[in-house]
Amino acid sequence: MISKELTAASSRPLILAVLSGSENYGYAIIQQVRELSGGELEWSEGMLYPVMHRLEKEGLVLSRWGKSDSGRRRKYYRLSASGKRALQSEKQQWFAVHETLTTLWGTKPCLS
Amino acid sequence: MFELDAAIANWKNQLTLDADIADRQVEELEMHVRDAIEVYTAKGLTDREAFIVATQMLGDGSVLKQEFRKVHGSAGTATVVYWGLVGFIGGKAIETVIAGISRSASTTSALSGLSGSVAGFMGVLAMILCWSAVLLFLWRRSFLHTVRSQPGYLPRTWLAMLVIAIIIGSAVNTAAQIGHAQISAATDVGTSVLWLGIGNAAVQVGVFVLGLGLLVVIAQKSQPRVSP
Repeated sequence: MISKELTAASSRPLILAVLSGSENYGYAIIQQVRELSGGELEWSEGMLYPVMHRLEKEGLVLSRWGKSDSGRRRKYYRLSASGKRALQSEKQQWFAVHETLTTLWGTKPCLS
Repeated sequence: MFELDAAIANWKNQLTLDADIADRQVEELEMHVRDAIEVYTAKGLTDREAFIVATQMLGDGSVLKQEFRKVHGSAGTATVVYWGLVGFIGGKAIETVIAGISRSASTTSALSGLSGSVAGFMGVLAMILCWSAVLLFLWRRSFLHTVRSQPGYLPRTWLAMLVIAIIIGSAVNTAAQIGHAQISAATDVGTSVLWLGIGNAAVQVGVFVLGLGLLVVIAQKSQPRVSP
């Protein structure tokens, strides 16, 4: 189980990365992250929304109200141009941390 | 029998009260809960169980409040200023209209040959009738529509300060007017009343225009601008 602090710190790159794939809405973003992390990353679901609004305020994410297949109103988010740049910068930073730790611990991650 | 829509409406209302979250944001959270309920009921949970799990997973209202505050903190202040201004402008508008009606009633009575005290009484009567109509209207509205305010919650200190301000203000105003009429000659009082009246009207219009302008500015600023 990933700690609270690390969960909070990683929420930003995770959201940006999920949105880089396609436009998406809150519930689906949470489900996607949960599945991809194999249940290791447990978000308090409501917390996604203040984070989304912050990203929107910073101009990294754009939103629109649309309709779901069942006809319900739904807020969709997508990456803006500066969001894509922010994702690149996040990537570099996380890779730098990852490489440093890997060097220190002398292990190579097994990705099989 | 568990009514899902009623439960969700109730939960939304509670969230608005606890967390002071804007309607748009609550709507987004509601859609999240409805999505989650759909998933849980498809897995075999009852509506009631699915609702409980979905709302629990979403998290505590007070914690959400803190997070939303961090993002929309300035919007919260703007909202307070906005509604303060709406109340002020609205109150001023009603007050001015009623004062006009009251004065007209009083003057019409005086012109039709009634004595000064009766004319004064007619003005007061018109004022009482108008305010009764306004209060009755507000009272009916507040019962016909859901009031988004915590039951039993009143900002007591503010209310008390307002009441005291109104009492002191009216007392000072009346004393000043009586004093002026007693000390000065009738024509002087008449002239001063004339200029006060004109000045008052100008100031009221100015306050309206500036206040409305400010309202528009705040309303525009508090809307998150989303470019396509």
